[in-house]
Amino acid sequence: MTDILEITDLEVTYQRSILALHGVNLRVAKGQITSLLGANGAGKSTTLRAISGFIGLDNARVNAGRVRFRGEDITGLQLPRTIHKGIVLVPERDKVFTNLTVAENLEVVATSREEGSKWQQIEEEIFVYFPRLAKLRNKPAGLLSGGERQMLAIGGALVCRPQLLLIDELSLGLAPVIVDEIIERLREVHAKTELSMLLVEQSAAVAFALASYGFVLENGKVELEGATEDLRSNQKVLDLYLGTGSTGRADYLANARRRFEERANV
Amino acid sequence: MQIVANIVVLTSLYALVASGYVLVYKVSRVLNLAHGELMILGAYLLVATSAGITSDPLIAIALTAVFSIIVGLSVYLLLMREMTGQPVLAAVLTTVALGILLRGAMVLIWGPQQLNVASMLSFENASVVLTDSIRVSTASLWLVICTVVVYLGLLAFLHMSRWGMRMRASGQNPLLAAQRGINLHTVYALAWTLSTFSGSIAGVLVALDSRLDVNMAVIGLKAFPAALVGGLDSLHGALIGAGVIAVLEVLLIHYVNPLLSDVVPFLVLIAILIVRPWGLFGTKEELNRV
Repeated sequence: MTDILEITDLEVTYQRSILALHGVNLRVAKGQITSLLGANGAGKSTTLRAISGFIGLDNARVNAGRVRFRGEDITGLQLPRTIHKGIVLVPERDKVFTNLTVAENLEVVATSREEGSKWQQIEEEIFVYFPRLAKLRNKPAGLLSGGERQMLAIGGALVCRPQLLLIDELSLGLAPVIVDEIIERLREVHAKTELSMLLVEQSAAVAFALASYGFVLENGKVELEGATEDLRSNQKVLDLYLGTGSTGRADYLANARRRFEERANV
Repeated sequence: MQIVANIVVLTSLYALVASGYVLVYKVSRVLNLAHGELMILGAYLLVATSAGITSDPLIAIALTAVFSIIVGLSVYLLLMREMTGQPVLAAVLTTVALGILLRGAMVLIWGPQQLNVASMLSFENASVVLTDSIRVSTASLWLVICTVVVYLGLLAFLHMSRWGMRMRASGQNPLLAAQRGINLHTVYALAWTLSTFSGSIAGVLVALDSRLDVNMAVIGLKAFPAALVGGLDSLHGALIGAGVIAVLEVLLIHYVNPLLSDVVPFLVLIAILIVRPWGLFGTKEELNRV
């Protein structure tokens, strides 16, 4: 199986000094859904942003390591060039244009290669994946619920015609019923398009429901990786991300406290 | 009834100038404090065109419109582009510096004396008798027409065209716009160009209606309260804000004291900043936003 994305020893610093990732290694297989699990501050979002491209405002920099996309070195490539390569991110926060309607949110997306006539067709395609959005077509996105926003954000990203879709925190803050619905929709999208995806999650349940392979990130490093079935039976993952077992949780908290104190000492 | 006509004309002027503030602010959150100078520069461009290229008023005005587009684009590409990604305060201060520079340059090139642009173009600014009791000058009539056309055009552009939507989207969430492949530089350049264009139209028509000198840039400053009263990021808000300022100004001049005319807009500005800083129709922003 070929990898569409390959990251080796990636190091990212913020504001020239704060090390957010120290040597991350991960791969996304073509046509597969891969998950990236980790707690708050583990570096998941930074990893995604490093792939999809920082902008000047971020004040972040790739210090070392390589990002290869479809065999091509794209390390440090900035927006909007990463988009043109086919890498599209669904961000964690502020993921829709709240002052635009649902339809406008889809239309606004850069589709330079698409003809104007094709446009309606693309929009309808998104509404087939997310029928709920079709009914909300003319509603301002600012009035949507969290789940509807997530669907619209994924829809908007799909309009960009990605080769690789990055989703930051798919399930965070959403009701379980909505999460189930979104998982179902994403499965349909994947079944139809075989789109490669990298999914960042805090919930192992959601990650395992969608992904076939997973990585676990801790303190800016990949601690663990494996096929979903293997991870599912891994005691450490069970402890940390499925909320079973009490010793793991306690370990985790002790770890977190140590990390906090380290930072305070710096 | 003449008073109503005066209010309409003044509303048009403020609204046309205010639309320039709104466009740039709405899209890039930058307050362009050089807008008054850019507006007057439009009038001086007409002077230059009529003196150097053609004396036909219509062709001269059309050429001026083209030049104002070039000016707007250059201001973004040469100056404001560098400010993208910098703190907003830096960008605003840059516009202040630009305004002062432009003012100085205009005095150096065209001199401090008043110019009679209408006579240079042999444009006869005759009074138009609308009814028995209402007269307005030809230039004022054009001002009202242009304002209506510019507003209808801008609203249609912002809401119906893809690039208009992109401008609204970029103003609301620039990071997401970039992540969706929207080229922010193109969007910002478009905003500056449109803003300078509409400002120049206002400048040209004001200069045709009276005389032209550099101090008329203060009209830009007086239109600023109009934009703020309506809400800096709302186009129809600017129209209503312009109406509020114009009504107060005309009524006070008429019934109280003409000297109040320069003060009233700023009194309204202070009042609205205290009561409702985001204006009548603007977006209420979180002030501690990073």
